[in-house]
This record gives sequence, structure tokens and C-alpha cells, in this order.
Amino acid sequence: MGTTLQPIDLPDWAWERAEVRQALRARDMGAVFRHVQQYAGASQARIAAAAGMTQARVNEIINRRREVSRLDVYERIADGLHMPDDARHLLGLAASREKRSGGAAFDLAAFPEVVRVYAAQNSAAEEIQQQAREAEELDVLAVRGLGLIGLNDSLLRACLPRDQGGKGLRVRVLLLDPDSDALVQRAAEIGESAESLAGGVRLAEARLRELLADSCDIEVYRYRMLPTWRLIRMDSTMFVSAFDAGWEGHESATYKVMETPHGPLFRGFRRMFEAVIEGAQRTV
Amino acid sequence: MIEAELKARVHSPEQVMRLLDERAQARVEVYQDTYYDRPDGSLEKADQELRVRTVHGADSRRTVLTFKGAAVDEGSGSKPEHETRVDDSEAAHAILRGLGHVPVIAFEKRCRNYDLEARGRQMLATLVRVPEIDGTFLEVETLVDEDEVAAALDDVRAVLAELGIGPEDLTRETYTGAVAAQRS
Repeated sequence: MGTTLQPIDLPDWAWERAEVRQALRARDMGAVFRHVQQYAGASQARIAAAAGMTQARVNEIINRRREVSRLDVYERIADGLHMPDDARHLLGLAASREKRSGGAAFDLAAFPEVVRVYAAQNSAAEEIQQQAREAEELDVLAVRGLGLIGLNDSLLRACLPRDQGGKGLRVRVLLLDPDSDALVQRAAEIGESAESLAGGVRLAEARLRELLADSCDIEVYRYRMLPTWRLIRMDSTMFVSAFDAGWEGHESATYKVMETPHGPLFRGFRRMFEAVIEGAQRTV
Repeated sequence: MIEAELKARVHSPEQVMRLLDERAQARVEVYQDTYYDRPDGSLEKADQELRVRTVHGADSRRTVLTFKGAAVDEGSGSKPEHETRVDDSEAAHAILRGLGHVPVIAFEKRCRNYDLEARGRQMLATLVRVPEIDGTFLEVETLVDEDEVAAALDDVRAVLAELGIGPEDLTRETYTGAVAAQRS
């Protein structure tokens, strides 16, 4: 029992024996396992632990009741048995990649950036408000922003400094330029007149401007690109959904994305937000 | 209750994750931890911990308030633990500050949690990455009465062995210490 999980280290000479090489060339893992038992004195349990499979599976392979055919399983066995590169080549595998001690791909697969998925913004509302109350930075990329921040009963309005005793939240809001071609297209997509949509953006701007009087740290910008992503970022947490034809932003499924060292989504969206601000016109 | 716990550095995280995934369904969660102390640092000097943890999970966001007393087991550092859920994380922070505690360190842990039943005990195995610290860690813990700690730790060791983690991989290094060293 105590030795079940000791790593298996076959001596190099064993990997060079003709019958082992023949088994590798034929991709006959049953024979390879038998040689491992023979030369390393490894039990089926140890082989199973090393190759990340059950002992029952190892037994079936050794007794030829099952064959290995999937590449990832060959990889696992080769890694688990610490096969030298020469042996890996006989199996048809590339040389052992540099020692994989985690790495970016492992981190992102094991600890994904997307930590939660919501059917629509509605189901994320309470959590978005909670996060906003504790945040130092709030960025919003929207179309007219009335549902999110423009009106008294909008999702984020209650979290703004005005009601918070001026806690120092920095707010930046990007709204679609009411005079842009993209707004005309967006209005058509959601079956609204351009005039009404543009009016909504101007209303939101006016309501956000009122916050200045309460010495709120708020900046509002107009952008002209076609609305694609809908973003709400609070510090290192972001809620992401999308705009599409016939599809209002708040109806989109929403991902909660949290910043990680290697995560491309959080980084990409934050960078995109900054780039849109760069090209936008500040109105508040 | 005592949290009988061992922590190890994981050298083959892919393999350990595979073995854990075969035994239980992973819960992937992000912990945002803030540790508090008295201004004179007396909690740390007494080997005690006071923590507010907000857990971001796949179907909830919840906050727990935790106090850990001084270790009762020298080898593992297992500590008595008192933990309760709080509804409002902001209020929990405000209460601790209001009582004169100061935040000492705050950092994130990214976790894959596995609820295991092993050797007749409910155990929690957690694969951990702390972005500011190199490497992947595995914690295995179970809550027991004080007179059970030694037996429970034997069982925890056995589970670690099944995951390919030997005694040489165990560490008593704390995340708070490693993060603080990294930032200094």
C-alpha cells in the first residue's frame, strides 16, 4: 500500500530492450504494461496511478480485453511512466514537452476565468449590485444605459456614490453616439425608431450629468462603433453579455469573468474598453 | 471542531486533477480573502486568524466569517475553527473594522473543491492556485473533535498518497506568508 503511489521509473536499458521497443512500435499497451511490471516490479495499482486510470482498466489492457486507441491516453501513459523521448517516438508521440508544472493552459482549464453563467442580466442583478457597492472602479459599456445606470430604478443607480455617502467610486460610462450610423443600425435591429433610441441615449446622458452635482466621480462618453459587447466591470470582476440583431443586451446570457494572470477574456475586454474610450467623445 | 488539514505542493497538477476528477465533481470557486488583526498584531502572535472570505462559485456568491485558534497539532498546524455565514460581506468588513481590527492582507485563491468520502470521513480536497505564488497546492482537510486529530491526519495522509502526494511534498508554508513575502 505504501508503495502504490511511488513514481514508476523504468531504467533506460529496459526501454531499449527489443521486446519493449517492439511493443511500443505496435502500440501494444498491454505488452508495455507487462514489461513495466517485469522490469520495474510495478503493480497494476501503481501503473494505474501513474497513468491516471483505474486498476480495472489496467487489468483489462494487460489481459487484452481492451485496447488503447486514443492519443490523449497514450500521452498520459507516456507521461505517467516517464518514457524517454526515444520511447515516445516509437509510440508516435512527440518528444516530452518541457516539464508541465501547471502552466497557463492548465491554470485556465482547472481554474477558468468564467466563474459563473447567468441566463440573462436579470438573474445576475443582485450580484452585480453587491459587487458595485464594494468596488472602487465601475466601467459600463452599453447602448443607452437606461436599464443599467440612467434611471432612478436602474440596476446600478442605487450603487452610485450619491447614495453611498461619496465613497470614491470612479464611474465611466460608454453610450452609443446618438448621431452615429451605428445607432441607426442598432435601432433597426431591435425594431425601434432611430429617433427614440437616440432620445434614450440623450436622456441617460442628462440623468448621469445630474450626478456631477453630487460630486460623483463620473465620466460619460459617446462611441460610434456597432454595439457588440455589453460590459460591466467592477474592479477585477466583469459581467459580459452581447448585443445582436433582434437581441437586446439585457436579454443576453451573461458571464461573470474574474481576472487571472493568464486569462485572455478579462484582459481583452478591459483593453477593448480602454480603446473605445480613447476613440470616444466625452460628454459628461 | 478542529480542522485536521495537510497541505502539499503539487508537482504534477494535471495528474492530481485527473485523479480527483475521477473521484468527485469539482466545484470551481474563487475565494477573496481578507485577514484581520488587532493593530498590535496580537492575533498573529497568538497564532490566531480572523478572516472574511467571499466565495464566488458557479451558483452563488457567499461570504463567511472565520476565526481560527492556535494550532493544536504541531506537525500539521491543524487549528480549531469557528466559521459562520454572513449575508452582507460589506457589513462583515465594517463590523470588524468598527471593532478596531485592521485588514492585514487580502488576496485571491482560485480553488477546485472536491467533497470526498474516504476512510469513513467527509473530507474536502482542494486544488489551489494563488496567482501571486508559484505552483499549485493541494489541501485535504476534515473536521474532527480534538481527540481525533491524530487519527484523522493519518487518514488525510492516506488520501494524499492515493493522489500521488508523498510526505516530502507536505508544506506548512502559509499563503498569507508567501503572498506577503512576494509583495514586500
